[in-house]
Amino acid sequence: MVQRFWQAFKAPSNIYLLFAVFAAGLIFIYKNFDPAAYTEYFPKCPLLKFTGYQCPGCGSQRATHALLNLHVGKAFAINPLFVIAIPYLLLGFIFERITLSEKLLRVRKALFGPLAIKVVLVIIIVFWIGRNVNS
Amino acid sequence: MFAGVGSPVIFLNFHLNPKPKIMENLNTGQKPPKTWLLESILATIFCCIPVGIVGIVNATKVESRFYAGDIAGANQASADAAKWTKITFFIGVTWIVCYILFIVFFGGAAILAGLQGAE
Repeated sequence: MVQRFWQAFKAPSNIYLLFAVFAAGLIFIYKNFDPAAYTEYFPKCPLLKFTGYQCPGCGSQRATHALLNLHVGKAFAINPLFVIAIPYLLLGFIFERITLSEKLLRVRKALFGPLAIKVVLVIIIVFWIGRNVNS
Repeated sequence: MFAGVGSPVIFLNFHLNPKPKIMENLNTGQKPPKTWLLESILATIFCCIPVGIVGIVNATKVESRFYAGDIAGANQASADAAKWTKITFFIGVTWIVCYILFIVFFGGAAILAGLQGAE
């Protein structure tokens, strides 16, 4: 019976619906509650918790709150890498989805090719070290 | 019969035609195998650092091997990248679920507040 329910449920449209509801819930929470004000109710980064060092993603929740309330500058001050990563990732997912012409393949190679990934890696590591040295 | 793999005809032709056709197609006509770069970056930014970086390093390998013509190597690196990205996600999701359970069921908020006050 449980199996039958699951069979009926796991139609793609239902999964998408569940996902949409979940996402809407998250957006509602992150728009209306500032993680900085309710620290103890939001999951904290394990690295920060156990070592005291910030990881490259620390501040993403506060930055999400700022972005959802359209304070882009504030979000950038909290975690610039996160703000820059959003358009880059969106573009990347679009490139993965569509079939690419020869010209677009070259654009893809420039933006997500071997050299680009190394640059991304260096940026992340430099940012990671930098934010821990400054603070 | 002489056109088979390893036949002397191909071997003799090789230096007359130094750029095999497959290599030409590589750089223009095809997309590299999935690099998991985007997913790795996502996982890295949502905390679990050392492991997320491994995923990105594997993404580099996928791309550079692909453009060097090493398709098998690129596919291998792609599988590795997939593995490490999934491990990163798993750790991250486990951490978040544990954290939420902690808050909901054990009054973690109160305990944490008490600990912070004591320090």
